[in-house]
Amino acid sequence: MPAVDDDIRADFLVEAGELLEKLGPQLVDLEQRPDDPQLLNAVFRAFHTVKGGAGFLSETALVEVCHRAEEIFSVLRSGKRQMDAALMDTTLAAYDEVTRMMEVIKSGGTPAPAPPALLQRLKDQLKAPAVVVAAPPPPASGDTISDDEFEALLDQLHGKPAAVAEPVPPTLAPVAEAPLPAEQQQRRSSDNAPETSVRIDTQKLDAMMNLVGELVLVRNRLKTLRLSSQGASDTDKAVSELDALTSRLQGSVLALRMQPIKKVFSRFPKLVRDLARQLGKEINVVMEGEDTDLDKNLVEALADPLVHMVRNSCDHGIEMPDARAVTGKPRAGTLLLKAQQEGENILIVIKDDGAGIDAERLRRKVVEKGLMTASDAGRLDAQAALELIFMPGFSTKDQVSDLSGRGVGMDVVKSSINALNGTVQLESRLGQGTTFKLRVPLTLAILPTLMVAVAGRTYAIPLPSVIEVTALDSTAVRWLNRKPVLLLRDENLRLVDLARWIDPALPDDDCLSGERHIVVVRVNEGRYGLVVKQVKGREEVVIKPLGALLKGLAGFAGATVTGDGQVALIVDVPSLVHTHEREA
Amino acid sequence: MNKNLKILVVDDFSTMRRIVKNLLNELGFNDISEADDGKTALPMLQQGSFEFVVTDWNMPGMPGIDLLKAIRADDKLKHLPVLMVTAEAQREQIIEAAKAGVSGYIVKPFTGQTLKEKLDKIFERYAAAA
Repeated sequence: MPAVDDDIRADFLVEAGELLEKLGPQLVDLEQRPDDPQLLNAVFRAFHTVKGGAGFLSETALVEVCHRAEEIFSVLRSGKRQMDAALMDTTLAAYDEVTRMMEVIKSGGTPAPAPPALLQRLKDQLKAPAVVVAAPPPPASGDTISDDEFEALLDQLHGKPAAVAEPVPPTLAPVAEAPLPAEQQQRRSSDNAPETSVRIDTQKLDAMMNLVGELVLVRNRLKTLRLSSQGASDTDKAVSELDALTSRLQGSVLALRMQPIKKVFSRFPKLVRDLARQLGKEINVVMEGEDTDLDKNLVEALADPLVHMVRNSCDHGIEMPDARAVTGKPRAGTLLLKAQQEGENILIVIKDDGAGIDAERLRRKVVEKGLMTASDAGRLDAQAALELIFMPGFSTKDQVSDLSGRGVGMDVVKSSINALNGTVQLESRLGQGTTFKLRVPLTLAILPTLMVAVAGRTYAIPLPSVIEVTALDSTAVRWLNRKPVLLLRDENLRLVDLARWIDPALPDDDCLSGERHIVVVRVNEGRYGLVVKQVKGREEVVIKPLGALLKGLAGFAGATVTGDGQVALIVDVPSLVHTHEREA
Repeated sequence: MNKNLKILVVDDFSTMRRIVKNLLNELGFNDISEADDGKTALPMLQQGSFEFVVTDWNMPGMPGIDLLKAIRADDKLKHLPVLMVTAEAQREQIIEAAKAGVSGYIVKPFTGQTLKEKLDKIFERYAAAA
């Protein structure tokens, strides 16, 4: 077999991966429109194309399963056989197998042959043309032609080579060895290539983004210098232009990293279909705004949480068809997946028209599990009770179903969204359904922060977690279990003194010794007050990872360079609070 | 063989174009352009002074066989050698292609050596006709 270099292997994985990504939804569509010739053709071609590429990579296992699936679609599109439920299941099983093999290849392995049972099913399906009168054998198993036969055929069609009457194409004659006219030479390399897009290695993009980040920082410094020097108006103008240009450059580099959320959404029709079949439910998926763009890293990071939420909605949300019919709902439930841009954020809605969440049940459950006392649970308002599902260790199903109960709870979903500087909002109405709203920033490359000063140094607190800023009234500080708490508008706010966090040698009550400010932040459902010396203002920063020595340091997410050229550490609020709680 | 031969590789799967292009490069051909479908290939051929076409059979917009027929029907292009890339050497399919005037066929996957043999055969036939 031909040896193929790694570049081609990588190309194949990307390109065939895209085909397969489309193939999933196409197969699900096929269930609705089994006779659509275009759809049948597209599916046929996808298997055919993947097979062709896999052949050159010597991936025989992949070739085999693609070949079997292709044969089936060859018969289907010729109209000799109709799609039915059994055939659909077999086809989907083949698709899953192909996807699995691609994963193995991607991780550098060689996939094992497909299970013989699957290959047999595919063969049987091909042999058993249901309800078809006198179906001729599928073309794929027809006989093949040899090279000699082909040559003979050409001789027969065009006469023996020596007798070919046609004039020879002039370009093939030795004359063609002569150099082409300059004009023609030029055209050669610049022939109108049909492709309008180019694949770029994400590492190169990241490097470019990094450089643009540096440029932004220098721009910020220049802006600061301009303010302090009150320089000539010419300099002023040049800096303004640089400012505008840098922002635009930053915007367009960011745009390069954008991908449509479709990349994640496209797997859901198939996923939901499989789940519905397994659970004996009927579920329709409606998708809106699949073309909404967001940062590539976010598209990837959102995949797992979204899959989990969709599983949850199918498993716990939407009722069995009979139960729905009793309450006057259509037998088939609807799952809406919607994405839309909201300023600097993207809003993702996952909405089902299922049974809704029973807050009373959650209250009982949290007590039974010993996670809360009965009186505490009773005091929760309706919304807070709903949000119990985000509590670590809380799972409402007595029996862990093999769908949602994969050891990952909604608490993990929530914390992974929080880790992306995002939020999860939950609405549920008993009998009417449940809606999850996820909000995440469009990009993680630029972070709006609040710059604060602590012990003579500047720190950046990510703005998404900041709720408010207020002056510290030292007379309102109380001590609970030797920890400072501030009574703010009738609510106890736990205080974290950043100066003591940085220098634990400082006395407990150092924060009461002078003028201080409180930055109120939200961490999961809790609120904390970070004590700082001074609040400097808002700044958009470019996140730089910490060096190897400082990597993994709790409480810090990275560093950045401020407008005055200083290095400022970026506070990782959840990790800071978490570590603080543990240590205290 | 004329290594300056100007070749057009037509396939909707860019990985496949790259594979064919690499194999042609290995054989010493360097003037290779690409098209992703019969529909985009035809205007390129009409303007581009190409001397050889390698086309896939199965493409979404205009399949290889239709591209072949269009080439043979075009007075300027009708003598252009066309090598058809197929997944199987189906008798019916190959006969159809031969009748439509294909110069040769090659079954995927193939090696550089096989490709060279196919090219040699095609040039032999053209040379004999000269």
